[in-house]
Amino acid sequence: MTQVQRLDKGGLINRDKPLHFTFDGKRYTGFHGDTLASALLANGVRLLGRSFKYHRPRGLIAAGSEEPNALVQLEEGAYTEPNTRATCIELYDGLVATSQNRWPSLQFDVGAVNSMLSRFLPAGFYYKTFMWPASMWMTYEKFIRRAAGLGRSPTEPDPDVYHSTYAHCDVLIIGAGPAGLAAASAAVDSGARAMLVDEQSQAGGALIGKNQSGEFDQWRAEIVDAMQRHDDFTYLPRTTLTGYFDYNYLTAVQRVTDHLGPGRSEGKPRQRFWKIRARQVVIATGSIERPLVFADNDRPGVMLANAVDTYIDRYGVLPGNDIAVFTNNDSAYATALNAGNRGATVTLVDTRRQPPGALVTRCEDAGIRVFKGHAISSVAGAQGVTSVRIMPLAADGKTLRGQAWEITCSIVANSGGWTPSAHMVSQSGGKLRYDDSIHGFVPDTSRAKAINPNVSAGACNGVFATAQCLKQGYEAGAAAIDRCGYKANDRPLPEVAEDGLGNIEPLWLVPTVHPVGEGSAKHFHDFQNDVTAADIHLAAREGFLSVEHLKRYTTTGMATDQGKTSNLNALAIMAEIRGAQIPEVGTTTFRPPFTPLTFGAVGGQEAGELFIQERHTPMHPCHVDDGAVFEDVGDWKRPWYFPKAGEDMHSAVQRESLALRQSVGMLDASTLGKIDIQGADAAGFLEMIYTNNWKNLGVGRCRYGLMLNEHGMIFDDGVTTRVGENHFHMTTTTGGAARVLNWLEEWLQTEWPELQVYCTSVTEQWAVAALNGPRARELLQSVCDIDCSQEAFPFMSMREGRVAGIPARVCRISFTGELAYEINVPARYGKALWQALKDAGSAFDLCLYGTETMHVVRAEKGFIIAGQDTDGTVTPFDMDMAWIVSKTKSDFLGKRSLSRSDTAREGRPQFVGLLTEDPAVVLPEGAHIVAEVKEAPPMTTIGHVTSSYMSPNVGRSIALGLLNDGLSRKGDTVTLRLMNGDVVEALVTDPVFVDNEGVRARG
Amino acid sequence: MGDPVMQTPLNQQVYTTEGLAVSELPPSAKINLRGDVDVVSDALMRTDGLSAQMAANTFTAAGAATVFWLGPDERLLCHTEKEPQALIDQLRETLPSATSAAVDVSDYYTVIQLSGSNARAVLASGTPLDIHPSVFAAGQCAQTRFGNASVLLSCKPDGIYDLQVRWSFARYVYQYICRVAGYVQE
Repeated sequence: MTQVQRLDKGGLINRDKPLHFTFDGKRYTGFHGDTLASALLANGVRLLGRSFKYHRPRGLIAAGSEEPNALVQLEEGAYTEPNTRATCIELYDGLVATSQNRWPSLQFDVGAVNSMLSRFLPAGFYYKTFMWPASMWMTYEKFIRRAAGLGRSPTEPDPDVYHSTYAHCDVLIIGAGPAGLAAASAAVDSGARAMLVDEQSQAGGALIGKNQSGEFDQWRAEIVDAMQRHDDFTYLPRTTLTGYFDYNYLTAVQRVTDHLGPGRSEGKPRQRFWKIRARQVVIATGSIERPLVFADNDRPGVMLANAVDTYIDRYGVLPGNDIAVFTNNDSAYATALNAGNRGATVTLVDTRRQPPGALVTRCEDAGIRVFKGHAISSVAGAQGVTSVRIMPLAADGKTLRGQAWEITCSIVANSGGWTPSAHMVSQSGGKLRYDDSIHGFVPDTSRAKAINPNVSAGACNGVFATAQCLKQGYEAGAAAIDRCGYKANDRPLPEVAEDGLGNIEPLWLVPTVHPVGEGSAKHFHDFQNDVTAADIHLAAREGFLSVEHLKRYTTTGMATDQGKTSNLNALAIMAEIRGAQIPEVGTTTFRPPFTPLTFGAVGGQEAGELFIQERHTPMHPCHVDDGAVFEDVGDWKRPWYFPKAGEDMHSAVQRESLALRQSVGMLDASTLGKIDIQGADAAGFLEMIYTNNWKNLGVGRCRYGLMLNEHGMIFDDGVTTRVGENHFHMTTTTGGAARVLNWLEEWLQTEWPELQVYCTSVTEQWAVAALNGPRARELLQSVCDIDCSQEAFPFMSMREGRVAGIPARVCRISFTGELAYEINVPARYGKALWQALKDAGSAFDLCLYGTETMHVVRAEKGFIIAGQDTDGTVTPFDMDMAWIVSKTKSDFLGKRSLSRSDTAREGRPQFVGLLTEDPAVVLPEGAHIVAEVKEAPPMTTIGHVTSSYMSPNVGRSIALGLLNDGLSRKGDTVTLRLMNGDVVEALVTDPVFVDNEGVRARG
Repeated sequence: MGDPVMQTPLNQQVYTTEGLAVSELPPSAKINLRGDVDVVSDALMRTDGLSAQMAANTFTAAGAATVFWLGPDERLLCHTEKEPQALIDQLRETLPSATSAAVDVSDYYTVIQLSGSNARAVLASGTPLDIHPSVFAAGQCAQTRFGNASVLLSCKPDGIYDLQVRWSFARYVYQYICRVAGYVQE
């Protein structure tokens, strides 16, 4: 039998189902029902890892999620996950785990030298390296980062899938221990919608595996069955409540298939992330045993007393054959008796001089030697406990003196009392109060946060006897049900055996023969971040007295375990140093997550193609067929260019740009934002929204408009058409559609509610094909029943009719400077329209073009793109667009700001064209125009390039940009200094490079 | 020239799996109506026998017409038989253009229909709205979110849900539904 510590019987494991696993390459066997921790312990493995800072050998401390030490690297390759707690990993066949933070091996670790150098690595070391000498930080950082890592993140993509979902309930119960189950018993059959989340695989909490009354077990089975049977009750085992947010919004992670092992989820999500909105919350999260802080209390084999119980009762593992139980309270006596009953040689060391006589007698009757008023002064065995030395404790608890005893043992089961697990109350914004009777913080119901209605019950509320937990849990559940307007189910509670915390005499820091911090012994209170009592003394000496300072200075409580086992000890030790009461030192605020969670779970299904929506226009399938290369514009996929065989982007764009001005080109313009505006005041409303005049626009006419924000800065532009007397069709930039509609609604709803104006988004109602080029009219006329002659259909007007048999609104507007038509049809006909125009276009040398060509040809005309040539800091005057700003209107949005001193000053950046000295040089967009070239930056910038292209129609490179005082500098030569150090000279010009008179669009 | 070929964003795809059937409904006329509720109601009553006086976040149907409450002064009229322009013309006979809006949004939205025992779980994966039958029953509708998409969700009898989504989001929503359909199965 290799499982040397496995008991012959007992526990909730299935001895008929052996499971094989490896740890650090060595093969072991455990049983179904084990955790990785219990299976290793069964195999006599106590050394599981090295500590974070000092690389001290470490083993298990706990049996649950509070475990600070036993962090392992689970699995390999893409499935690997660092820092998983061995106590929370359900064993499966083939599990592979490795220890962390050691090199070259767990038994021999070079980093352990840190422990010997610890006087040079004090608390606050990390921060001190920032301070002095500053230049050394770069050196320290590399060393610290390499030395202080724990596990490794996977480098491959995550092969698992995850699911996230919302849930709503009347009552959410956290925890399936006696209190939580009792709360659930009030909720089932009540008609209320309830949820119970619990991190364990089975219900029962602290009583899982305990030899409780048959009545309790039967009651538990009934509740579980009822929870699973009811459609409106959701019982989620293997689910950890990770965060408690305002308005009773809570998040939880359900481990759906983790317990099956990697690659065995069969399409199911590995984990599910629950986003829960609950009307009432019952917190029944139990309590966490705290360790005693004594010399070298981190030796592998030093465990919490309740963990020893759990390994015996739930997993059938006797952690050691010789066990020293070390306690300051009654609860550990049960552990001593339990271990003794299962064959261990047990010695009990109680720091109290007069523990309850009945308990002592029971132990002594069971052959357990009891040392009263003694304490452990040292622990021997670097890689695993071999013995402890105990000495009598002075009456004040500050020193040890007298006869020392050496006790041989492999396990030290210690208990410093029980800390209510008040994380959820704290996360909910509730405050805690110190309860002298239990020496721990409990929820202060008078300082709860009203928007997060919850009630705590059971051990998390400072009640430790099972019978009381049941009663309080039921009452909490019933009260929550009642507040939701339902009547609680009055199922009777089971009779249970007497238990509980009993008497406790706190001893926060166990002295040794040396004062704390002297000698080689270390008193750890925070195991995961390697923080010792001596560090707290150092923090106090350096003035970091408040808990928030203490925490940040020493990093106590800041590891992934959130200080579950360490916080109260740290506070109490600081209180002793200051001669203060514990509440005066304060409590820390617990923050989410309760335990670490994977990013995969938080993302859920919204990964890959569901991470961000890919929006397609109705014509998209045609573009794919035509070999388009797509560009992301917002979340739209727009054709960027249409390369022919052998063409790269440059040659495709040059060809498209030429063809468009020589024959005709077609662009999918469906993504432009479109807003339908109706009502008697629509024209007046547009007068306020745009800088130019709108009341005089005739029905069937189109007009270009600029929108300014309150600061007078351009924020969007587009063409708006008057469809009817009280009806306009506005277009916006593709990216600006939602922003503009919000802007319009904001003004209508908050400032001008009296206006009769209704705005409706119609972006996707219309599919739009834009025909541009000298042959656009011929092409359109060939498929359309509208008279497209210049006389019947002039520039900047709209006609309705049929195009290729499809009902259409055709606007004669141009963003290229060419003769152009934008054909709007209902989206359902978008593809048909595109195909019809393409078919008809072959007779007119039709060329499909994408957004890049659109950019090039509009730049040839000096047409701005809001958001590219403007950046929210330029006015229409800066853009040389004074022509579009009405001088006659009494007001429009932004008008007042145009006369502000800064907006109206001389020397503002102004919009110009730029022609490089060498026509083959295409300036990079963003390149700086400098006042004077220097050897290296910084240089005074007087402008920058906003758009730059090689223009086939101009036959050279062209650029647009903003230049200080640019409008009066046309004809000057300016200097640009590029990122690569090149210096380029450019001529400042008018921004219009093609058809300055604008005859082509009007012809 | 024959009639132009119509498309819908999902080409009426259908997806069926354990506990879920998903389909895109055929295109229909949809008119967004804004204005004084009494006036809108009169017009609706005259054209399709429907009242616009209705509880918030509900919908009512009469024959081929359904009207959804979208906001205090906003309704959505859907019609499976009439043409959108014909609907607008009929409504406009009594609905003054100065004080109301009637906008054709027939192609702005498509309707994805979900049914089956897992339909609610699939929807709950993407929408933060509580859709339990006790609070979101047949006849109720709500403008909410599904994943990143804005949707109009409505509950019909027999556990059937209609999701009205914007044309360009239809593919995304459909993929979303199909993916989580597998995740919510027992």
